[in-house]
Amino acid sequence: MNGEKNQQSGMTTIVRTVCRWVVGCIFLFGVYIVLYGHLTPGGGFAGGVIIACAFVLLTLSFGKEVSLTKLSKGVASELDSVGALMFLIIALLGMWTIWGGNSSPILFRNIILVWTFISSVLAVFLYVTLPLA
Amino acid sequence: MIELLGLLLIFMIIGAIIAVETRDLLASVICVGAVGFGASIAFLLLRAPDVAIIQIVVEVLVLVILIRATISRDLTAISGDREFFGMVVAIVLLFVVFLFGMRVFEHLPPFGQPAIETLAQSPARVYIESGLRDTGAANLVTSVLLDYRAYDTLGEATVLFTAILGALAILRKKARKRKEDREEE
Amino acid sequence: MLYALCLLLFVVGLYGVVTKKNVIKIVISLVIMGYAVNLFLIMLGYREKGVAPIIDQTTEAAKFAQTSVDPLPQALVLTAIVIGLGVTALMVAICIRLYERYGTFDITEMRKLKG
Repeated sequence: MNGEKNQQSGMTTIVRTVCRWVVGCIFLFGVYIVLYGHLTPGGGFAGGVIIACAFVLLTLSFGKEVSLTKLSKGVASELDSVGALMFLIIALLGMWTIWGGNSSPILFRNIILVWTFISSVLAVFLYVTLPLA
Repeated sequence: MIELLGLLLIFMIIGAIIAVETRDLLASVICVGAVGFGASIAFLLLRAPDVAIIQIVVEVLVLVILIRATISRDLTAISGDREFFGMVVAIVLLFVVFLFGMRVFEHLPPFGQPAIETLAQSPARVYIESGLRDTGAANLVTSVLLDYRAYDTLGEATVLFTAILGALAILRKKARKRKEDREEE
Repeated sequence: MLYALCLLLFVVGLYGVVTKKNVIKIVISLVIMGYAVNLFLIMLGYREKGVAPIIDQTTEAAKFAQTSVDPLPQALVLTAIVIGLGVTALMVAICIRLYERYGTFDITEMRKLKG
């Protein structure tokens, strides 16, 4: 990684080295929690926040610049909006099945909806990086 | 079990009192972190692992946000004296609130007997009995959250989205610069 | 007894909201009140010697329905915690803006400075 360039921002070498090892594990754990939310404790929101926490850790240890190269502000904002929109569209699909005569209270099979939550939550990353400037 | 939970709650109350009363803002934020992690362990003891996970994660984020808000400001300690009279009045009023709350608890079922045991037509009973067959999710909390009550979750996502949008709008840098320019003119 | 301790935690938060003059302290007190309410709602759904509401393949359905804790308050509290995070973020953002505008966290000072 471009360590020399961002030596001035962020924390010390110990923190950086540990974070380089740990961030991948945190990200993978978040993905696991999102994908297995319907079988084990957890779920879309918790997994999304854990993934956002990986980026928060990057921001705190390496500084804002490195973290923004991994996931730029525009991409995070788009993910957030796409998540909310997908949620809305799926909700309208449920409405449509009710109008179509199938008045079952069950709207969705869980996987898709659980997955969409991940993007809705990356907005937290956006918020946390902002006051760091 | 109940004793452990009581000890945990007493720990949380002590942490909350320190967090409210200390004069150092950073220490106060850290005490809130202690209270939140205590709440997480309490959720785990109450057989709510989903809520425990989400409490830990949210607690970490709240701590990061609050520390970022307090640590970079030069004014981290609270100055000024406390008004003794106002504090006494507040404590008396809150004691009255506490007594009224205790009266409410007499009408609740005792600890360890949820409403699903007494109510025959409770919705939670339906969720427990037919949740796996209806939704295919072994985790009943997920099946309630994302299948039976998905529109609640949609509203929650909307609220979260709006709150983040509001925070971004408040913290935006451009508008402030423009305003400063206008003030200079 | 446990309900009373929960109420005490809530009252401590309420005390902070009522008496403190620092904005960050007020935010912290609101967060504590939120914890107390969430904990109380989860306690309402607890069953003596209950199991977590995750269906195991080995236990049969009828026995599970007799021993599981109530999943409905857990789902609703999950929603409440998430919304609490959003509200806290918004409040802290407003606090930062107030600090940049007035140079203090004290609400009485702010009232004086407004003029």
